[in-house]
Amino acid sequence: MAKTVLGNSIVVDGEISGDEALVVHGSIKGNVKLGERFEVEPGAIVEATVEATTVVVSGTVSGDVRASERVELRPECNVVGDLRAPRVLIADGATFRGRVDMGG
Amino acid sequence: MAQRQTNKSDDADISTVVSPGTRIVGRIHGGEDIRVQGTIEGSVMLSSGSLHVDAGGVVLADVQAESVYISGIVVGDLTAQNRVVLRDGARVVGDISTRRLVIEAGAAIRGGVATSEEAQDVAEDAAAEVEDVVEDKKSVSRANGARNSAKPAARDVKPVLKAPPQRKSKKATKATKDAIRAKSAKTPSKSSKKKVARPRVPARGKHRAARS
Repeated sequence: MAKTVLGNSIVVDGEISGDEALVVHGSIKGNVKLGERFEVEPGAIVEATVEATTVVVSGTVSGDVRASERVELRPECNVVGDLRAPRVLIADGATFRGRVDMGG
Repeated sequence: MAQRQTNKSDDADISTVVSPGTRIVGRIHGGEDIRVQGTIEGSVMLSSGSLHVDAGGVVLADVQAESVYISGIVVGDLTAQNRVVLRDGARVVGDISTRRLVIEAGAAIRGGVATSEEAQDVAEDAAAEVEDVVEDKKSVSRANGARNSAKPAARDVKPVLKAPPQRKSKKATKATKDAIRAKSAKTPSKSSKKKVARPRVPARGKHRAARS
């Protein structure tokens, strides 16, 4: 599967959209809208509104996250923003501030 | 930050790829290679590292990078410190400024090209120096009252250009005046000169006399 990767020195200021998985090691500011999986790797910084099928966060995210399938907050992640997904996983050690909406 | 630094060293081999189904609109900057198979709109600035635009990749952006390798489509100005390579299938619309440019068979480009920036800079500096020298000379010559250098040229030109036309124009104006007089007199032009000239004086006198 082709996937988009942003290396750790890459800074994107704007809007990212597509139907391929996106893995971020660097920084994103703005807007992310994917019809696929979105991964925020350790050390990555995302200041954006995120929309994807599955969102896996190991880095830092500030902004609302909306996933059609699930959101995973891994240990050592740092998330500030509202989560909205049918399934939300928050691992032990994850830092999170915001609201969770699981559609119930 | 420490985490990021360790990250960098650990994942130095991570290569940034914008896959075919992905579109990025905005500014991208960084210090590593980027491979574009999808679409990028905006601007791309890589302090180090090169931009690879693969076949099917579309970059609608001004690009600044160490090197740029293009097999896809680029619309925007390219500035590369090192080199720009246009491979088969490359379509580029925009100006290219680089040290080395390679255009392979099957590549198309529309835009200006400036290679060898160093040489350009040298040329520009030289041109600037020449201009400075010229200006200095002008200022010096002005100070010496040597504006003549400009005036003589005008004098040389004026007599040649002006005198004949003046004569001609005088003749012409005389002729036209004569013709007008002739018309007014409704007589042949040659005879009208005298006839018109003569009757006019007494005519004025007559009129004046009549009026007075």
